[in-house]
Parts: sequence; structure tokens; C-alpha cells
Amino acid sequence: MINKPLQGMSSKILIPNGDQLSFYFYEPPPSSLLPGLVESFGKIIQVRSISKVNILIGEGVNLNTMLFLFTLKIEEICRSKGITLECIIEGENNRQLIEIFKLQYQKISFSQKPSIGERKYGLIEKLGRTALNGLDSCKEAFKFFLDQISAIAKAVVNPRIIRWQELAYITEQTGSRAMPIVGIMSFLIGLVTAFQAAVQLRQFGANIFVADLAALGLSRELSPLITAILMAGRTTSAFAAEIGIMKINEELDALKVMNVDETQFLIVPRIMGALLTAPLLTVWSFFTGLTGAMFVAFASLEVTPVSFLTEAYEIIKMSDLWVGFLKSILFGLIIGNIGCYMGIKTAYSPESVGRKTTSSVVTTLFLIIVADAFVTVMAHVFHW
Amino acid sequence: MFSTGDQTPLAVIVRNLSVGYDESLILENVSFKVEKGKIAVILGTSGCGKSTLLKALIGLVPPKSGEINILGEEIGTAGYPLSLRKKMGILFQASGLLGSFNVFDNVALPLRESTSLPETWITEIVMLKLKMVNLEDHAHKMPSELSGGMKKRAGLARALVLDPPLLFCDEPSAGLDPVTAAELDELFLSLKELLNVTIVVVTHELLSIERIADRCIMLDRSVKGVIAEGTLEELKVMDNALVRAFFERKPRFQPGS
Ligand SMILES: Nc1ncnc2c1ncn2[C@@H]1O[C@H](COP(=O)(O)OP(=O)(O)OP(=O)(O)O)[C@@H](O)[C@H]1O
Ligand SMILES: [Mg+2]
Repeated sequence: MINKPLQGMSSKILIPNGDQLSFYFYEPPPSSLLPGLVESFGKIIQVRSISKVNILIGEGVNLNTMLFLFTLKIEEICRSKGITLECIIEGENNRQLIEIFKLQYQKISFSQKPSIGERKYGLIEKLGRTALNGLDSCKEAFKFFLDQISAIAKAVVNPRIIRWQELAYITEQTGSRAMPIVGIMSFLIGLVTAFQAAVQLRQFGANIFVADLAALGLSRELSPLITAILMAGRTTSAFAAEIGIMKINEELDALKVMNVDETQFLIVPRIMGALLTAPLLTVWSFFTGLTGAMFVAFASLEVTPVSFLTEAYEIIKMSDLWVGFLKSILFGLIIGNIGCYMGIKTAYSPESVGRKTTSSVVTTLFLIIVADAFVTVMAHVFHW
Repeated sequence: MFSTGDQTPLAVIVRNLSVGYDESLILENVSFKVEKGKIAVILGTSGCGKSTLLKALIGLVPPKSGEINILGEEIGTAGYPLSLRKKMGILFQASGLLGSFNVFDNVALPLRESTSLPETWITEIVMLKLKMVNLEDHAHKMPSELSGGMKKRAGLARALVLDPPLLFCDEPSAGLDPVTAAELDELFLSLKELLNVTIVVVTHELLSIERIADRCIMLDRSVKGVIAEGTLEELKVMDNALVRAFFERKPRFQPGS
């Protein structure tokens, strides 16, 4: 029979008594204590011979999940060691609860506990799979690219289907709002380039050529690249994340069932926006970059702004501007397409949005450099 | 009147509470009480601020003025006591499961974060809770692979995993079939009766309210606050036109008028 603990002992849970061991719960035990209690019980019965274990759960204690698991585990240990267990549970509620818990516990198959069920592949097979997957996604991306081009062509032929409001909004977001950062970056890069050149040019007294250098470098290479790199960071990622989250929220599904063409609704305005803003920002970047160079020319090479601009105007041929323009158009296409493509390819999980957004920026940067090299080589071959 | 012998027989006390977002006030001068071990239902038409009230109670929206007392702890503007958060389970309207964790890990998260239990105990507790909401066969699934009602139930299992004495639920039975909704009602009742859990539920389901509610608190947008409070029977015989419209399922706006 279990005797109630003496006054003042009620806070003590584990009480040995001869060859008996008693657990008293007269107040709710801190649940972090229970696993340790089971562990020390396991140790105690190894060093002492215990013939009987008592558990008493008082009326003032709610038999919660932890306490149930505790009794269960003690019961298991006692059964395996052949120790008699007396479990006294006070309170009608607690007695009902333990029955419910027991019933539920028996029905659980713990094999259901999730295991990482991914198949393991060998190295060669993994390599092959990765290559094949890469090829597949390239094919898919290319098909997407062609689809978008045809969708844009359709929209240009039939401008009524263009969502002008959305287009204006996107142009503002990707264009006007990027002007400060593009301007500052270009100004600084023009400044730095001119400054580097100034040291060399002064040695030969060829001060005025800083204008040629800045004008040609900026128009053919630097302005399109700076703009595109900034747009990859600002715009591609925004497109991918926006569309990805719309997909998770089932907004794309909703569009589909409302018979709205998601390409015309979402993607065409975005790609057109990028196509429109990339050349415009490039022009803006060209002029701010030139201003930076002009600043250095005036400050450290004694070239006046008037002679700087005259020189720059004379050196720049139409073909230089065309090459820059062609590049910016290509970059705009890449920026818009990759952003939307990655957004559409997002899986239904927030994690995927992050992954696709990252991958959209990285892919865009890669393709921009490739396209840049391609156009530069072509220009060289055909003497543009 | 209260024979529980507890110092504070009230689990939630709200006095002259005003809540809102930024400039707009959604609720003004709301006062009510919830007794320990009872189920209180917050009801009202869509957009009247039920979720906002719940968010104020759990400390997600700071109150503009007024007082909240939860389980004897006063919540001022200074912030929400961390220890209190462990004593309450919360089921969000959109279930709030983390998309990058599977169901098991979602339910295990509170245990791993706020206790130092060994993993074997965590597994057993989580599986017991999942069994309680009949999801034990779906432990390995990601939230994106669950139906709406399953998400709700997984969210409930997570809310219950720390055996909280206080449970807040935002529309637990929305999106559930009548059978599952009834099972949920029984679960709430057994939590209340056997474990003495206090439950604050936001719901529109009249049948569910009839089954579980000890007390109803009805909000309305027109007064930005409580228009009626009492047992369901008391509310049903009230003269207030807004209350009557709710129970008689009458539209507020007649088409064409
Ligand atoms: N994050 C927020 N920012 C600004 N206003 C909000 C925000 N969340 C809700 N509101 C506004 O607060 C009001 C009450 O919204 P709340 O979500 O509390 O309604 P509800 O009673 O829960 O409605 P429902 O039954 O549809 O869930 C609405 O007018 C809503 O526009
Ligand atoms: Mg709500």
C-alpha cells in the first residue's frame, strides 16, 4: 500500500523505501524532468534490487502526454525486469485520460515516423542524371523563350491585348525606380575608368583622348553591362519571387480557371517592361558615366567639358551605339525571360521560391556575360 | 461562484481594449472575460475583426490602449512575456505550417525549441498528437501535399503539442467536412473536460457553437466591438437586430434595395 508522503516531502518525486521505489506526483512535474527520471530509474534498478514500484498521480495533477509517456516507460522497464508496478491514479478525469491515451498509443504504428526516403544513386549514375536533367531544363527554357517571343509578337500585332496599366507599373518599377542606383553606379565607374586612364594619358600629353576612351568604352561595353547586372539583381529576382509566390498562393491556378492567359497576363508585360527599360537605362547609364569621366577629365587632366563633349561626339560612330543598343535589347530579353521562367518553375513550397530566385539571378548573370562576349566577337568579325 | 480553488478563475481578461493596424482602428473599447476551463466562442460577420482580436490576445498586434490579462499575467505595451507563449497553443486561420518542414517536424518544432526532451520522447509525443487529429499516417508529408482540412488538423496538433492550458483557434472547422468537424468539437470538449484546457475559438459554424460554446462573444463592425455576450441561449433570444440576423442567416443587404 502506498502511504502518502509526509508534509514537506510533497515536492520530492522519487522516494526509495526498502526494496520499494515510489514516484509521487502531487503537483504538476516540470516536464523536462521526466525523461531524466526514467533514466535514473533505469540506473537505480541496476544497482539496487527493487521488488516493487509505485506511481501515484494526485488529483491536482493533469495527466498530460508527458506524464502518460512516463508511466508507459516505467511500465515497460518494470515488465522487462519482472518488477511489480502499482499505479494509483486519482481523479476520474485522469483515469479516463489514461485509458484514452493507451488506446491511441496502441493504434500508432511508429514505423510511420518519417524517414528520408530518397534513393541513393552511385556517382556515375548521379552524374548522368544531373547531365540529363540539365539538358532537359535547357530544352524547356529554350522552348519557354520561344513561346514568350511569339506571345510578344502576338501582343505587338494586336496591342489591344496588352495590359497597359500593368506594363506601366512594371516599367516604373524596373525603370524609373532603378535610375538612382544605375546613375550612381555608372557615374562612379565612369569616374574610376577615366581616373585610371588619366595617369597613363598624362605621360604622353594625350589628355584629350580620355573622352574617346570613355565614350567608346561606355557605349559598347560598360553601360549595357552595368545596367544589365543591376537589373539582374533588382528585376530578375523580383519577377521570379513575385510569380513564384503567386504560384504558391494558387493565384496562377485561379487565373487558369478564369480562362486568363497567364502568358499575356503576367509574363508579356514583364518581359516587355524589361525590354523597354533595359535600353533606356543603358542610355541613362551612358550619360551619367560620361559625366563621371568628364568630371575627372576636367579636374585632373585640364580638359574642359566643351572639348570633352566635342571629342566624344566626333569619335562615336553610329555603329557603336547600335552595338550597345543590340546588347541592351538582348540583356533585357534575358532578364525578363529568366525571371519569369524561374517564377513559373517554382514548386509549391516557400523554399523553392528562394532557390529559384537565386538561380534566376545567377543564370541571368551567366547568360548576360555569354551574350556580351558573343556580340563583341560578332562585332569584331563583321567590323560593326 | 468559482469553486476551482484557483487564485484567478479567469484565464483571459480584456478591459477597454482598442486594436488596429497603423492608423485604422478595427476594435474599440472591447471588454470581456473567459473563465478557466471553459470554451469561449468569438463570432461575428466576416471582416469584423475576430482574427484581429485573437492576434491582439496572442501578442501579434500590439494593443493601442486597454489591458489584457492572460493566465494572471498582465500584458502591457512593453511586450509579450515569453513564458506565457509556452502556455498557449495557437491555431492560425491559414494554419501557419512551415512549408519547408514535413508534418512531423512541424509538430515537433515547439518541443525541440522550448524543451530539451530526448528525440525518442519527441517522436512519441508527436505521434500521439497526430493520432489525436487522425493524421498519424501523414507524418512524412510536406504541407504542400496536404488538403486544406489536413493542414488545419496538423496546425491543431502543433498547437497542442506542449499540452498548453490555453488554446486559441481561428476558424478550426472552416474547410472541414461535417464528420471531421464534429470530431474536432469532441476533441475540444474532451480537452476542456479532461485536461481543464481553456479554449478561445473563432468560428461561424452554428452547429459547432451549439455543441461546444460555454460563452459567446459577438463582434460587429458597426460598433467596432462587442454587441452581445452570453450563453448561446441568451444570444438567441436577444432583441438586437444584428444578433438576430446572424442566427437567422439573414443577409444584411437585400439585393436590389
Ligand atoms: N494586416 C492588416 N493590415 C491592415 N488591416 C488589416 C490587416 N488584417 C486585417 N485588417 C483589417 O481588419 C479588419 C478585420 O479583419 P479580421 O481579419 O480581423 O476579420 P475577421 O473578423 O477575422 O474576418 P473573417 O471572418 O473573414 O476571417 C478588416 O477590415 C481588415 O481589412
Ligand atoms: Mg479571420
